[in-house]
Amino acid sequence: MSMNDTTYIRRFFSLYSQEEKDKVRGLAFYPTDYLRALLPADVAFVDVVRSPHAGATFDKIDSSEALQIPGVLKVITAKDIPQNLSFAKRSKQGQLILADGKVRYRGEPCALVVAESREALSAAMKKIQVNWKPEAERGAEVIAKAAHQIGKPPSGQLAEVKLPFSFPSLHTRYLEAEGGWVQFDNGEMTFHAGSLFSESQRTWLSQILEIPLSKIKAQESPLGGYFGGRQQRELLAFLALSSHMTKRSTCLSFNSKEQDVGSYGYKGELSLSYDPASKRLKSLTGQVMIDAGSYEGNAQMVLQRMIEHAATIYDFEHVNLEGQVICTPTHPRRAHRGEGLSAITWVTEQLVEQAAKAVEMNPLEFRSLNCNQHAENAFQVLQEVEKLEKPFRLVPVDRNRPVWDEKSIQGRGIAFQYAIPGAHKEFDLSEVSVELTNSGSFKIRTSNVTLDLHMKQALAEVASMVLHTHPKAFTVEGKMREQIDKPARRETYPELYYLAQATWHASKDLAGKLKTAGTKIFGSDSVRLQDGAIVDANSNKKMGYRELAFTDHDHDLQSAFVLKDIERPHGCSAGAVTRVAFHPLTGELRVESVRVVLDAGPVFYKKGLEIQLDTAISWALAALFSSEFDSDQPIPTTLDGPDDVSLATLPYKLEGADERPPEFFGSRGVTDVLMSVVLASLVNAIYDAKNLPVQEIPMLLDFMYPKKRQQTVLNFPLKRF
Amino acid sequence: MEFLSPRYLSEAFEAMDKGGRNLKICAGMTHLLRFYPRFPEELTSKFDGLMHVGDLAALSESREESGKYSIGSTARISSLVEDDYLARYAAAVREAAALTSTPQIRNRRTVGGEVAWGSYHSPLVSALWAMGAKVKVRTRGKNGSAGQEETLDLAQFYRGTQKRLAAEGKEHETRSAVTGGQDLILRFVLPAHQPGQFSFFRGLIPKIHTENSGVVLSVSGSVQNNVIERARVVASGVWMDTMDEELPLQAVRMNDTYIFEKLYTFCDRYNFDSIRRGGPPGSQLGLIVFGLLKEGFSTLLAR
Amino acid sequence: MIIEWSLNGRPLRSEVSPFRKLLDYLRQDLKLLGAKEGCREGKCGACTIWIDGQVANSCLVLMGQLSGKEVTTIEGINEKDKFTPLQESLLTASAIECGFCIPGMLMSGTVLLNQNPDPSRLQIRETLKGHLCACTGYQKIIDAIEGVGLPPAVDGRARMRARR
Repeated sequence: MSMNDTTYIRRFFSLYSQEEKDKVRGLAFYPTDYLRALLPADVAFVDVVRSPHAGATFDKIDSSEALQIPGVLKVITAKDIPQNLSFAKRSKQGQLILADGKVRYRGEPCALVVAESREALSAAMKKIQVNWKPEAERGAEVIAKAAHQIGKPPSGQLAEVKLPFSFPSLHTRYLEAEGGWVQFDNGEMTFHAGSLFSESQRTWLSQILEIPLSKIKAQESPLGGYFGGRQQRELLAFLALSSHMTKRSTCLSFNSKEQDVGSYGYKGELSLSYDPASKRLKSLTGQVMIDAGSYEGNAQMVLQRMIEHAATIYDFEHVNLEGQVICTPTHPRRAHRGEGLSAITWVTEQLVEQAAKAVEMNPLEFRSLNCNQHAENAFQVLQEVEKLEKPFRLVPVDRNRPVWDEKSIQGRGIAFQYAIPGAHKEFDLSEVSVELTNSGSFKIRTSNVTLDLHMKQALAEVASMVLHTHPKAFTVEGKMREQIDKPARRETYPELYYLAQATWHASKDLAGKLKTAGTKIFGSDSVRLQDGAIVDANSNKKMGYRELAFTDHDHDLQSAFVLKDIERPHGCSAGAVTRVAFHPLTGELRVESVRVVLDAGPVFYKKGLEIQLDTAISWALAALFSSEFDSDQPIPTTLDGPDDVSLATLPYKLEGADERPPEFFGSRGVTDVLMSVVLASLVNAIYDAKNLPVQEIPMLLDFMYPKKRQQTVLNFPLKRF
Repeated sequence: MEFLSPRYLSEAFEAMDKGGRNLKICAGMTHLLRFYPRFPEELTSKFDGLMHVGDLAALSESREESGKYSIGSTARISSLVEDDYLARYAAAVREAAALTSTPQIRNRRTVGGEVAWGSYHSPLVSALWAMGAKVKVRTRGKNGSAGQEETLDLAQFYRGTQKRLAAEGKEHETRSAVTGGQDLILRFVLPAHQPGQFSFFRGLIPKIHTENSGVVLSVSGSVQNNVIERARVVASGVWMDTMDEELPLQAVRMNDTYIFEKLYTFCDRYNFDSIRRGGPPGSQLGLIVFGLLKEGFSTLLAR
Repeated sequence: MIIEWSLNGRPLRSEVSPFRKLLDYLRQDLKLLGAKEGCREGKCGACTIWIDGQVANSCLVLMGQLSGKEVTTIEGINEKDKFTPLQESLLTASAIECGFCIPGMLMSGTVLLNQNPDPSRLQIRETLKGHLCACTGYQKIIDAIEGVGLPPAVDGRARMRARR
């Protein structure tokens, strides 16, 4: 008799994790819950003195008056910080934690005030004197350049399409303002500031304060709209500094005004040439400019990546893309998910669409003909896209009908994206351990403390496949390490696929141990794992993992695996079809459907991909529809978009993976590809409907409502009686 | 600052006569608390007391009175959505109520509050206006004397534009009401229903679900023997001031595409630039208004 | 001022400033943290509660407005030792990620389901208009609310309609 999933779960486990159960009942605590209601009595309050000028110098911060106010503990300036490092790099270049004599943007932090009470704090904030010397406003400065060139300009009779474009900084606001507190206990600091507290942030803090890594710990807490970035680093650094210097627990929360999470701004012009006879794309040339705000951040890397990516999707004989990063005296911008790639490919895909229209070819066939020959499964993806919706309309809208007779103007757009496979890349190790606990359930501990609920479920699914039990039998937790080998490890966004691989190996090793234990118990060589139990094939005896954990004390039922310097060989491709409809008179735009085909390699957790697609759609809507660029802008969500959303993934089999390790899980660049493909297909659909290329994102009123009317009352015959 | 919560209307009147200028009246408070996060300290004008009339039974009731329909000023907007009379005889008001803000806000906000705040993008204001609703107001007592009841058209109720200063130096432009925060709106009275009367509401769908409409529009009119007797349009929005006009549809047959031609000519000749507040150019606003009118009349024709 | 009201079925006499916001009173004084504090201006819906059985933003309600009212928070609809049908459906549909918006969504969804046990997707979208979710997007939450009206789970499978 074998147990099916349900009986197995019913017998031993709750169907849901404690984390999920708490969240659905509203019992999970978030940083704001602590800040507003649960703070310990002895906590001190912190506030930030910010620059009122965009571009100024100062040489003195006078805190003497503030310090005389009872309850004020300390005023911290740049000079007090053991290592005043920058936010982006571990050096003194770029924006320092507290400005040292010079500020570039309005709102740049230059001092911290710590006080016993909120009242003392607000009184002290008014007494801080800074002798500002405002500078004359500087124009934009070029701070970095990049170029990408392939081949020589093609000769022969070529046609060309061109598109100037601009995509200004996109601002979003999250639900919870950044906030948190740190518990100080005997020189040890425990952070309660959202779960995106990564190892790299930990090492960064230990460098700033010049204290051992083991003194910095974090409490894993649910994310409430925390998405990392400079604001979060500011918060962590300010909390760490104030706590370390006053030897107190401290708390801090930003207001939404300070929480400016604008993305980089883009501008440029691209041109594409093709051979009308052979219908082959020939060259891609143009310039791109990134506005990084006051400080560069990782804009140079984004720039390089975007121009390289734009050139990889199709087979171009010649590519000549140049770019520069400029610095302006505004809030520092940051890279959002998919940044750079999505900011340029809506332009290239529009150009490809224009070329396809010009050569009168089905845009899908045109893409198939021209897509990168090395793109893995690109053809398969494009074939699947064709199945989603056909035929494609190539006939433009009839614009000669009388105005009141106009039907809604429909548009369909397709787009294709492809991310190149990762080259051999040195990556810091990912460590995973799997343990069978006495209760019969498994515990997975990972070296990554920034996993969200869905990522945890994904790892549980991999382990359950190897250990032949149900994913609900696993609890996943992130564990902080005592030592870090490579301080520059990038962990803000978790490298889930590496962890999946390490989980596979650790589980495989543990499965071996379980079998060994079984061999000893049953006295047989033919023990296998089945339905949450060890089974002896000869005698058909079986023992559940729970019983095994309870009875077996000789074996160490725990395995760990460390994955080092690995390759991620699979690229990712995606195609999307989007339908939109414009109201012919009022100009209202409705997105009717978004359908995506994705080749994401051997995927073990499809729900995660569906969520990524939802994110991509809401992001694309945000990019297209934000009407004002202030932080008050509500977040466009999938609620503003279509209900008809579908995701098809190319099938990959993971069966038999318990015998043979898969070379890899997932693909490179899933998020980037999804975000760019959805935006590009939307833009193409709008282009198709309006018969007018989209040059500016977000769509401006001038685009939605062109100044020149298409028709006037006198231009068409009136039916008179 | 005092918080008054009168149980009866007479208590409220008494407090108004006593409090005079220094008593602010409020009901649902959804506007006040949204625009002034640090209410009441943040208000530009200072008051001694706040009178909450949101729970006064006498003001929240909607009923038919000698053929006319009277909507209590503190009726919640969500209650209008469920109102049978409005669904049958004043479709524009019901549709406008259903498209106001979010469900949470509709459950709290009162009709009186929505009208008193006077947003240009308010669907309900345009619908009540087009339906020819009258506002009954009781003004505050002056110099010790008791307040007076007045009945006003919505066209009389508003006088120009005012800038409301809100948190963080933000400004909101709304219509300015002749009455102040110290006067009590009692009820809205819709004219008696006539046979053949029709009405509809249409609004431009905002680009983002929490955004406000660029143009909202309501039409009310009447048809006899399938011939339109009269039709009145009231349109406004984030992009335009109030437009209150008779549509040139007298004696036009209801099943005629001629309606659309008439409407188009009307919108084409109307000077939208003179009432434009922002958004697309005036000529385009004309096209939008025509589009909304066309949608509304098409639905009527289809019935 | 003394306010007589009822919270989660219990009558209360609270001595509190009438100008205090309900959200602050719930979270800071009563330590009921289920209603979350997001935008504080009625846009995000994280603080949604019921007043007399109707959804409202607790950040836009003053304590003075609550005399004689019945307020229900998520703590009031939690059942001991079991989940409500919508909670169960949210869990099976994997509609929870950070979970910050969930208490509010649950309050709105429950009211909708009480009024209409089998709502259309359009009705659900209309109901969620006053809520923001920053992580999963709405599709799964809509799936979950829709799923409550579907036949109960069999063999551990989620009660979910296939995605179109």
